[in-house]
Amino acid sequence: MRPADGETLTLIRRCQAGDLSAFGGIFERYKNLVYKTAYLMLGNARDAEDVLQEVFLEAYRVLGQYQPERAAFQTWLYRITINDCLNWKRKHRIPVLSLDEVNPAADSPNDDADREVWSAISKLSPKLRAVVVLRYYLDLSYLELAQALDIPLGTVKSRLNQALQVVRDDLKGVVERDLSPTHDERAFGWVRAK
Amino acid sequence: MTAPFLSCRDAKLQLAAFAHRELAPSEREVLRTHLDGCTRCQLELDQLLAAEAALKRTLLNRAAPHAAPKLAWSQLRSVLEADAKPSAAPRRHFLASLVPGFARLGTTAVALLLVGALGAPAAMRQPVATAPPELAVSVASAGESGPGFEVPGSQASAPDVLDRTALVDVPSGTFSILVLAVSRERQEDIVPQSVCGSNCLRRRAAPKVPADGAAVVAMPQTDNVSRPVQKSVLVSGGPELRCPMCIQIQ
Repeated sequence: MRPADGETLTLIRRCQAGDLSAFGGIFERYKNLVYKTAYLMLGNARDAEDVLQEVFLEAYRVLGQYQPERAAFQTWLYRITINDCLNWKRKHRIPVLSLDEVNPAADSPNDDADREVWSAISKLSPKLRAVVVLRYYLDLSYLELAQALDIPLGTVKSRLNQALQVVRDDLKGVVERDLSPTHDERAFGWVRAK
Repeated sequence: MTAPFLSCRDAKLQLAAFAHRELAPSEREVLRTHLDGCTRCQLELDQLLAAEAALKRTLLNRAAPHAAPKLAWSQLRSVLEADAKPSAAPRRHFLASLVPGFARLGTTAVALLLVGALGAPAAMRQPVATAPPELAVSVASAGESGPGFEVPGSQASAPDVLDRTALVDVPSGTFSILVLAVSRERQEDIVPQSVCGSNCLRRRAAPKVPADGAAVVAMPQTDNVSRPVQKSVLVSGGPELRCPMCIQIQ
């Protein structure tokens, strides 16, 4: 578990005592992580903005319940973020494709592999997408994943396996390209070490 | 002592945890032994690592250009302050009183969209899509003033006109109009969107920044203090805006 640093804890205590400006400090510290996580979950910057506001509104309302000894503050915040994203998806069942989902190249100058991977991520169910984002973007450990998603460790493992299988099935070309010998390897007759 | 047998099927299920160093030491040792003698599972592990690397790379690439909006805290703070000091007045559907299809704002550097006249309080409590037809919306340019409001001319040419407020007296009460960002020069900062006027607090962004760059948030007040209350609306001259939850602006 990554404990909240001293400054965050101080801000949290001030917030719990009713200091709104301290919450501004917390917001500044975590806004981008929450926003980016929401963006990766929803694939849409505008929805991510909405969720960003909802997450911090919710965090402010339930901050009194946060117990530093039970989970890191980030993990607690990610839990709210993921829940809000899942709720958002549930409530907005009609898919609204963002520009970068319609045209993956619109978001950034990515290569083909990047577009294929993003497309594969977009096809994951919200629950599998959550585990992928938390693990591969935020680098959460299995224990943190279990806390953030409120699921047992065994479920973390099975969801990760499931997500990886779906992504790999979708990304056969990319994975094979990544694993194929490079030009130099071919030229010198090298083979991948086993 | 021979290592416990591990089938390829079971090994495959443990590969991710193995790669993430999330296996217990004893399980890790059993799997390592299996991998040493199984080229198929080795290839499986290679593919899994390649897929993970691709996932990580793409997620980082995709998230990198994005950042929380600059105005996010000021918007959130308004809502939180309103929450902390809830108004004693009954909640009303403020947005339902806006006329549909208001004109695109002018090209002035600062344009203030004013609710000129509101319907009776009873009309404001009407459900969505029954906006009172007598409602009028007008636009004030920089330097203009009116009953209870003034748009400072000196701010008109500044490229960073942000967070300006003005009070507007209307028949049914006093409204605080908060201009978030209205200038051609700072169009990249303009986030045209509607903030739902009821309690759901959902915001739906407009599809694009209006060409003439105008965005206004109007906040209903129950007293003459310019402190924003929870009900708020950010409107722009863009195409149709609507909050799917409870209210519509057209």
